Amino acid sequence: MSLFAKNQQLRRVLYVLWIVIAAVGAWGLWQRAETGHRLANYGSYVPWGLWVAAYIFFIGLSAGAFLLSALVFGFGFNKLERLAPYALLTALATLFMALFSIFLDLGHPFRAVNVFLHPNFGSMMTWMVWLYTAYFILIIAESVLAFRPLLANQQEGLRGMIAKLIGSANGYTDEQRERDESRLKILGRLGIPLAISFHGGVGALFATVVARPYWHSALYPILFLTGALVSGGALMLAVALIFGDDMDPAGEAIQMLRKIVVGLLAFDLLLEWAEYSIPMWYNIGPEAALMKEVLFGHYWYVFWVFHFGLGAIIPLILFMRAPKSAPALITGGLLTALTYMAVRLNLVVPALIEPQLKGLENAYIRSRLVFEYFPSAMEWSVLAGITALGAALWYVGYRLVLNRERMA
Amino acid sequence: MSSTEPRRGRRLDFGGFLRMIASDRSPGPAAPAADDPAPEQTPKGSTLLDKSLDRRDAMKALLTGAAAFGAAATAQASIGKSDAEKERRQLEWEEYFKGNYRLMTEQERRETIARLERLAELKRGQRVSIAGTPAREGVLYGYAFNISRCRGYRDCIRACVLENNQDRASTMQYIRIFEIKNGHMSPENGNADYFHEVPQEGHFYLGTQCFQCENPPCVKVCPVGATWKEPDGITVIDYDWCIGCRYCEAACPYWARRFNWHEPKIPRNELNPKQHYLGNRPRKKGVMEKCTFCIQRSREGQLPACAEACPTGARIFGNLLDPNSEIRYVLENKKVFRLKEDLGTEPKFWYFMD
Ligand code: SF4
Ligand code: SF4
Repeated sequence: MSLFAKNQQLRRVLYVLWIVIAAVGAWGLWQRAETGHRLANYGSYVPWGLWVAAYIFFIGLSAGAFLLSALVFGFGFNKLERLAPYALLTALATLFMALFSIFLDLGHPFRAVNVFLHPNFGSMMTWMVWLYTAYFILIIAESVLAFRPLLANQQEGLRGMIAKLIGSANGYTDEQRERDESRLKILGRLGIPLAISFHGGVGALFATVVARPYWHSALYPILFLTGALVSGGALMLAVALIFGDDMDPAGEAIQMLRKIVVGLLAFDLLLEWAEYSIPMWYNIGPEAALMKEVLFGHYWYVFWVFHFGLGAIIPLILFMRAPKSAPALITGGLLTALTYMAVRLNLVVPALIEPQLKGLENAYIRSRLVFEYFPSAMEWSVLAGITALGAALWYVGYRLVLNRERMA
Repeated sequence: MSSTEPRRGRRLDFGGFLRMIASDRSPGPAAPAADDPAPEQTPKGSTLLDKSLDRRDAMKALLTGAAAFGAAATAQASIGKSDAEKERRQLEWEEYFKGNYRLMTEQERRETIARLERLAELKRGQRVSIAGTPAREGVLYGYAFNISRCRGYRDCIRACVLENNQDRASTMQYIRIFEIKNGHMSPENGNADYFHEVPQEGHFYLGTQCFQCENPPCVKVCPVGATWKEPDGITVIDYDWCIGCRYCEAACPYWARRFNWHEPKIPRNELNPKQHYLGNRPRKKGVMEKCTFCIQRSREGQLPACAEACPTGARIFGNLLDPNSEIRYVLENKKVFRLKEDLGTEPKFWYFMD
């Protein structure tokens, strides 16, 4: 039995939390539909804001979770085997959240199909869209294969329908299992370069922009990848401990994952040290001032409190000091995963805060023409809406496929 | 614009229906001059007078005869209204399936433009002419800005806003004039937000806009090819293909692109009806726009509105490939510089001093 099924109090907290987030989110999504971009605080000088950061945050979670599952399916990394279906479902739900965030960010969301009709392959963004599409197809295919045995012989209701759809309603033979496993192996292996290229590609989408010295760094794609693995891995740690069936915090799977997350977190901090210290060392050059702004400016706490403190140091202490305690691992995992949003915000926004022609900051101060950015209530609540939808999607998948036990 | 092209819909206004029926108006009407507010002059006393009807409806209306005019008119008005509505919807539907302007055939371009003209009429009740004039051979446009002449009047900005049908609600402007203290050179030390008498003692003025880079990063980043550099060097946007991702806005080193965060507003009597598909035709919400060196003017051999409006002669515009052009004279005889040259964007916009 999972912790979630056993612990009624935990369930209540999560349900209430979801209802609150969903209510706020419904308001936000409605506002977005009614008023378009009018209530958003990004504008002509800071054209990308919270939703773009949310998009790379979610897509990072997806890539991270997916890569974990790929280790199992593609390379038979058996220590993590029990986590693999959870990782796959998480990758699917967060992918949906990422695509929905960026969809809402577009000025003409329904024209997005133009990227297929008339792609410009010189653009990093085109690559993103094409690779996501491939990734989406791959993840669906993998889910079908991985969920088949879990839904074998299901005939009734929604579950039966899904089972029919994926072709295991009438039983699942060993022969089928063998065939599906070898297919999963191929897909898992294909998925690894795909996930690396699309998420490294998101980094490159920013890094290739010469007009923004803050982004224009070769380290960016690597930072994005490490970030994906850290945040995705940490999220899986929490998810597995809360929702996994009889998941032993001292067991092999969790301990393995814990070690992976600790290692990646340390590596991520090392990369960040490089990213910040090199342009800042002599305190000259276009990025130095911006980085100083990130670390010691108006929004210093985004880096120091949310990312460094809550997202890295506290989880590291928890992971190292209480390596076998479920509450500690869950807290650490959730903290790392959720506060990674702060890193994503610091990746996107500061570059846009710097005027391309400095005097512009003195130009026509109107609401859309300011070099300052803090997301508006509408933007935050849309993010809440996306989160609630993604969580609901995940939960439905979880109840239908992964866990059918009765709640205590 | 060809005037031989099949028409999509016919409009009859009862104020002068005989003239209209006889003329069988083509979709590319001679451009109504800016001061020709045809729709406004139409009498608006009754609901009938400004309704659109197609020929079938018109014939019906005529046949009802004068005696039954009153009753018939009311009925026809509602038919006319729903027909116009239907036509508008039909045209909007067709608009939805059109391709990228750059890839359209001549025929498709003409059809698209006719549709947009008709839609403008149906939606705003204003007649516009949208040109699709292509780039001329042997022309590459360039611009030079004389820093010693500009006195900060900003007449160029006003002219640009009017010429290019820019959104008034957000005071969108393509041009910025920076007031910079002597002793400095870059806009970094400037201020584009001055409200005092100009020129100020000890200051000089420097204007920026889209520099029509020869190597434009904005074009490279666009995922859907909605923006491109034309053969005469002007970077344009197909507003009906842009998905509004704003990657180009982030990638332009000169902050030359403007996004329509909401439905742009242009006062009826200030709409410039002389338009170009790739230029100043009114944009919609959710798309990018920018300076096009007034493509609707420059391709017809006129100066961009800013260059024409400048009272001090600080703005020089011309064909870089013509050795006798003024711009070539400036480039060959003055000390010129460009902004952020190190980026390699090769702007076709130079600054110089007398
Ligand atoms: S100035 Fe900016 S918008 Fe204009 S061509 Fe250059 S990069 Fe593109
Ligand atoms: S905003 Fe429009 S023109 Fe700019 S990159 Fe996106 S699709 Fe292209």
